Amino acid sequence: MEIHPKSYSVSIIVRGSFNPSIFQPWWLVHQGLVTGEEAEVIDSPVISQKLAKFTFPDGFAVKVEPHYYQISTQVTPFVRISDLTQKIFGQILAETPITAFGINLEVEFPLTSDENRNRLGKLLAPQAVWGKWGESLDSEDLATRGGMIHIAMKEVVRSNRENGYFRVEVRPGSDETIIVLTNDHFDFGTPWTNVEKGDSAAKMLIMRKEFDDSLKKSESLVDHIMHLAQHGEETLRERT
Amino acid sequence: MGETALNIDRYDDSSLISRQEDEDIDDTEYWLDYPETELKFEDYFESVDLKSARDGLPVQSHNRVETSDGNTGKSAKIPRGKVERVIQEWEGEIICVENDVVTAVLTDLTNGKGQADTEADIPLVEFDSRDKDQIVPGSIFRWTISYVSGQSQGQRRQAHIFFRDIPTLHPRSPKLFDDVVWD
Repeated sequence: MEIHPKSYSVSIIVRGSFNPSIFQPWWLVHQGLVTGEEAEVIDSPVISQKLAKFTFPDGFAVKVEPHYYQISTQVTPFVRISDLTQKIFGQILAETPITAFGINLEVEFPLTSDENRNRLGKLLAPQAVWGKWGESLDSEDLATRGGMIHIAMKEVVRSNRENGYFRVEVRPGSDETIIVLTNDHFDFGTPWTNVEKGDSAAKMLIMRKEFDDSLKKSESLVDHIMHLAQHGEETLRERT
Repeated sequence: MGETALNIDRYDDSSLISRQEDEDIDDTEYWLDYPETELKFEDYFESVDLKSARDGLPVQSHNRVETSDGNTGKSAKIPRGKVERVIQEWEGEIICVENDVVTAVLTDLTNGKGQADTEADIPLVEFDSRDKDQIVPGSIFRWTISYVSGQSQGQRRQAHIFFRDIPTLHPRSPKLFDDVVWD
């Protein structure tokens, strides 16, 4: 039986210098990025000089602070949030100083049994390497059992960017679930070294080129973890 | 094992965002708490060349890697509700529209190699009437087939056509642009 995720969310986070008060739902309508129909149904948007936060139901959520921009969605096609971000920082606000951006996937999925949960933890972080103490973590009794609570792996990526990384985290969620988060980070340096590295339009071109492949890579990793959770060592034998 | 305990165990630079995302706090308090500058551990590590010093290597300031002042990962504040998962996705470009049929060249983004490889006739009724102004030759769209599930409903398949609003980007400082290799 295939696992069905309980949550599947894609987001883009941009670091730089922003003016949150610009980011209002009706500004997005005015710029032709969303329709008036979409903006009308927004519930309780927060707009101030230091924070803009609102959600388009059945669309995407936006959160902007002076050094932080986030857009996230659970609605397909996920590429919409990339197109919107490119339009904002590549065309409308093309002078925005941008120091980094990340393409992220978050998936929460249920485990079919406690046995599978325990097995996944041991596969990702074997207790044997922790010596005697590692042995003491194990227990038949769920109430006294210890083990892995959070693991993160980082790949340094230079092939398609000057500086950056691909990071994956696995952790337990609430309600007997597992959460997998991926972060594909593109770094353009500090604000004072950033000037020579192109304006935001140049960085948005990189986002355009990389978004689909980045998401594909993340989805493939999430699939692998889900398969590992369900089938254990069999997954490793199949895929080697 | 609750989420609170897990967040305590966060160890790295994303803890700033973690707090920010996970706490539903008053904005005023939040801004008092929020630091003006976020310095990642690895920035600090690299800025003082501790690694070189520890390894007995000469400290070379030109080996520094300048990184941005914040991470771009998201903390695990998982949204609940509808879950959509793409099982097939194409990018299409409309070639012509005749007799209520839209002819488009499709690129298979799920299983293909990123090259336009299929010409398809799509009935006009498959498109949203609100997109009628965009149903013209040259328009680019995404066509997704997804599984959709929610907390109170079973799983169902859904097809969606979305016209892309791809901006024309003209970088004025083309250093990074030079590195972009177009297909």
